[in-house]
Amino acid sequence: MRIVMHLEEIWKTYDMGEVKVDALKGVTFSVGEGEIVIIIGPSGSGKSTLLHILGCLDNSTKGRLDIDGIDVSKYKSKKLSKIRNSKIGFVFQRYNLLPKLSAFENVELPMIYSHMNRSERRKKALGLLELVGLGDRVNHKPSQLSGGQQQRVAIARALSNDPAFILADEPTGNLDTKSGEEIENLFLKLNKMGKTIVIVTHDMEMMPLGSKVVRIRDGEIESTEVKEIGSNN
Amino acid sequence: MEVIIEALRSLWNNKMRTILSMLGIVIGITSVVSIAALGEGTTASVTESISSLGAKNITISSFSSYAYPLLYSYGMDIEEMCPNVENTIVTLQGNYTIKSDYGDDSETVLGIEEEYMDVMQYDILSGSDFSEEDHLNKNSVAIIGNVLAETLYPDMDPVGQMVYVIQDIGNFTKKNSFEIVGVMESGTTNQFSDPSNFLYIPFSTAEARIFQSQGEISNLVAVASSEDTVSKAMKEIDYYLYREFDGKEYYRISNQQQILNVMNDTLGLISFVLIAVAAISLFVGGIGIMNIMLVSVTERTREIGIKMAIGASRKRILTEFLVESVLITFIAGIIGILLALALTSSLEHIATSMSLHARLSPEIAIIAFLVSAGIGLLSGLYPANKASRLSPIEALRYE
Repeated sequence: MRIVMHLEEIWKTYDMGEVKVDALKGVTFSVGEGEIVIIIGPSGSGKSTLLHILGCLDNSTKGRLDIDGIDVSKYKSKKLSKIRNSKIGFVFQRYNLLPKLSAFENVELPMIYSHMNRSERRKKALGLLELVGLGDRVNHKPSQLSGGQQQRVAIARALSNDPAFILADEPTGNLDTKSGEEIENLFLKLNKMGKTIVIVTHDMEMMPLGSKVVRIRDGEIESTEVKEIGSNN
Repeated sequence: MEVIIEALRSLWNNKMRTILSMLGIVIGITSVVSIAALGEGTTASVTESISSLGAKNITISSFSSYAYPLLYSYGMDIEEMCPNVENTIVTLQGNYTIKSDYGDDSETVLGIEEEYMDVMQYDILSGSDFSEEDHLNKNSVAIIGNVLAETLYPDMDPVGQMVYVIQDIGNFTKKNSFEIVGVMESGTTNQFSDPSNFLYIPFSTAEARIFQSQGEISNLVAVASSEDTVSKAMKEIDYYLYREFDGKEYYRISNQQQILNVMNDTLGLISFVLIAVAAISLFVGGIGIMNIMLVSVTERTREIGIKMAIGASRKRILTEFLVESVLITFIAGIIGILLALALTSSLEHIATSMSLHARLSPEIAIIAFLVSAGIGLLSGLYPANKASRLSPIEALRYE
């Protein structure tokens, strides 16, 4: 199994003036291609900090992070934005679509940033919206879509530049049970197509989804469970 | 390209705000461009009316026309003795009631020598210039300016008609009759006195029948051989006149170009001061745009965070905001220039008596475009930089 992401002794220390707070204390784990990894932990466990570092929104204080075989731990703003654009597909709890753009334009945006040409962009965005089941909602604004539909647009957007993995932050946290299940099923469908998915959550109910579950507490990995391949149909 | 479309869309989505923030720049550009156009137009028209009198022309006048009147012989002497003078123009001039069978007017009668029409570059519209015989035999013929002709001979051809110059001498009036042989047009409108409003008669006729001037003349103009020799010619004339005026400086030798230069300098200074005042509103407008952009950055913090998370670089965010502010001022600049165009041309029509002239040259327009885009760039720089320096994590958390 190819490794798409590897963390090696990641530390994150916040300097609060007189005291230093260690949010992450030497976190090490890997995500292999085609896995669904659930990172689970209560609030205050360092989960958000880990998410920011995995998402290349923040640098670690110490340690090494490889994404798709590239060591990004020393990257600065410009290179990090490129990694976010090409290697990481973000899915947020609150969808975070741009309200004034249509579903199509929201999906198109990361491809504009990667300078893909117009016709290719169009084809890709339409295909992805079709894939997430919104082929008939292409020109709808986020405000005209339900929460579940908005999250599916966000997933299509996350997939637009064929990232190394999807990084989802509480993806069902704002959804009712039914919409939440639909999103989970969409993740499973994408996983079957070979997409790698990392979900950061505190929701125990998502655990069965994962082929690997990483429990985090007080900035450290408490346990890692790996399921038999093929056990989550 | 997408950046521009996105910026246009964002401006369109906030129509009211966009219009309000443009307003300052629109007003500023309108006033600056209007003043510049009026300044340039007026300068051009003054230049035209003065140089139509001839930049090579040197006007000679006497301050004491009783003790030292200008003499007909001066013209011939100056022509002969001053190597840099090519020609002299000698005229007799007076203001009289000019009558026809259809109307009358009080206007200038000018006695002219041969070739006067050619030297002044006036056109004969109908009929002909005076013949050699007219000058030799002091014939009672006249050429009428086309503007005067409209007053005296409405809707008819004046050629062949009689015109009368009425002189009041003591307590009786003398009526001098002339036959009109031609109609002239000066081609240029001189705002001080319009040659198209004059009646022209041969110099010899004027001297014998109206002025009885006995060798005295009204106007003396020397034409220098070229524009470069004007000052040399003026020195030569001065040398000659100093003796003729018995060493008394009761005369003046002036050149239109000098007057022109002084007038242009004055006009230039006036428009510069006015433009500087108007430019203050541009400055204020720029601050207004900076203010709006700062508000916009704060409002769109979350949007910026999302864009950064999905891969927009700092440069991209910076560009987006800069393009937006430059577009605002650029569009405002275009509107301002169009408004200035409308304003100056309507001013020209309304205030015809003030003889306002506007000329919106391409240079003014291009400078106005560049200035307005420059203001957009400058006032957008700080807000755009602020936006691009946001931390994506903080920006994403922003409510």
